[in-house]
Amino acid sequence: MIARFDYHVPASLDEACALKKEYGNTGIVVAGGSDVYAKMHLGDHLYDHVIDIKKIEDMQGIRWSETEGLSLGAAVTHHEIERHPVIKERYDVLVQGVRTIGSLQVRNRGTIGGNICTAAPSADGIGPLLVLDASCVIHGLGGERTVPLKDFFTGPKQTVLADDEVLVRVTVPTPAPSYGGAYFKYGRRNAMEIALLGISVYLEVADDGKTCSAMRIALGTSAPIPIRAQKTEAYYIGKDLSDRQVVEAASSIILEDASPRNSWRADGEFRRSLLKLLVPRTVRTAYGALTRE
Amino acid sequence: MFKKEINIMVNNEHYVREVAVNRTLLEFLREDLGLTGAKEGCNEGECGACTVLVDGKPVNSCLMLAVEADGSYILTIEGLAKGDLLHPLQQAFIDEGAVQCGFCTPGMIMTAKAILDEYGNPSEKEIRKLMEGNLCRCTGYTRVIKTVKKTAEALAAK
Ligand SMILES: Cc1cc2nc3c(=O)[nH]c(=O)nc-3n(C[C@H](O)[C@H](O)[C@H](O)COP(=O)(O)OP(=O)(O)OC[C@H]3O[C@@H](n4cnc5c(N)ncnc54)[C@H](O)[C@@H]3O)c2cc1C
Ligand code: FES
Ligand code: FES
Repeated sequence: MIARFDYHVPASLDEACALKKEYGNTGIVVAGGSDVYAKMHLGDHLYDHVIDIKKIEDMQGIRWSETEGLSLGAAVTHHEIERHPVIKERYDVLVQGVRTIGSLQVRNRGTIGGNICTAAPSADGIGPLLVLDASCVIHGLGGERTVPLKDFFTGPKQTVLADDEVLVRVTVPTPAPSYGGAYFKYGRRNAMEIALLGISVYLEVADDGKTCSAMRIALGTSAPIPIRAQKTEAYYIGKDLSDRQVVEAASSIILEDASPRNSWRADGEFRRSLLKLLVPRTVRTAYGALTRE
Repeated sequence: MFKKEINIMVNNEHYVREVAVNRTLLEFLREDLGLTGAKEGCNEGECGACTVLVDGKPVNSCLMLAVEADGSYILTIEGLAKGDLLHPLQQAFIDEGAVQCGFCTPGMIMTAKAILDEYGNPSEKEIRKLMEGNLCRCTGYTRVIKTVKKTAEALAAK
């Protein structure tokens, strides 16, 4: 049973923002509820007010155009994303990420906005969006602002969202016609698993088909918040990605970007060796997935 | 509001009911409507025993409020057979011995139905992946997956 609460269904963004501000710590915004209701069942995370935002028009739907790129409503579910033809074709790394979330049942309820706003370092939707250079469109009582996803997280489970703000949409620019993307989730078993480590890679190469011209790497569960591995990214620029030794050599740099600590799921030492092994491996997978004309 | 009137179709029956807003869809189905096919295994989204279809999509009814299903069409295991004629998946689960204690079975069959409706005739590997949210403590899954695959093939051949 879920403890008693008062239920609000705001019809507009402004109404949602006003309720969020009014109820503060006694209220919680809910989209798919896969995170919120699961925690409420456990008896912690109790709130007097639930503010259900998932029917708000501005948060719906997947829009795409070559020039504008992709725009995902915050209330779009993971399953809608994994089944979308354009996303499958052009943003495959995002599909690779969200496909690993929970189960089909969880993906039918869980939303991309909820995944981002939970701000868990292990969230499987965040890394792929980080390497695709996504931005967050945020609405508050004072109006709208756009924040790059890489600046959205401010601390463990903390985001830039103010008391009166909600996430409305996630925008993703059109990737290069030819790029390689890969998501690798490391867990102990294959099903229903929270990532011990999540690695996302996006890369582009020059006309010779092997010299790295763009590299973006995101790491989940490697720091208190999802991060970009900027030193490692810089190392790869201009390098020959067809040379296995060159790709592997990044393992000596990766720990400058992330130094995971102990948790009940795995100790830091183990995670550090995983990073050294798996970051270059994921780069190789992404290179292998490069779409060539 | 603490209570709300909902308008809901469950297995071809139309209901208008007032429910407490903190009531889960699972509690509503089991306790208010007496449909006890969907089971409560964990209340955390982990086991899938509570799976029902909401507008054709499999969801964990323990993680959804009854008020969130307002205006939706719900299909539960009780609504699958046509009179005495079992759904091909139900018949196959019996014929192939894919049921042991049976606790997971309603959820398994509802997820399987949604998968066959959406994906047609998926590979065994795809079925395994798509059914990862349904736990079974008895069968070891092999029979379940084979039964779903066999039914998918039989239905696709029709
Ligand atoms: C069994 C199970 C397995 C799971 N497995 C995974 C997994 O493998 N990988 C993974 O990444 N996650 C997993 N999750 C977590 C969760 O399902 C996802 O993070 C999901 O995307 C959350 O979305 P939601 O819409 O259900 O969020 P909700 O529960 O509705 O909300 C989550 C949080 O985000 C806030 N929020 C939601 N939308 C907005 C918005 N538009 N603006 C402002 N704040 C907002 C809420 O206030 C709340 O704090 C799992 C959950 C369960 C129950
Ligand atoms: S009872 Fe709903 S998933 Fe276990
Ligand atoms: S048959 Fe007993 S849990 Fe599956």
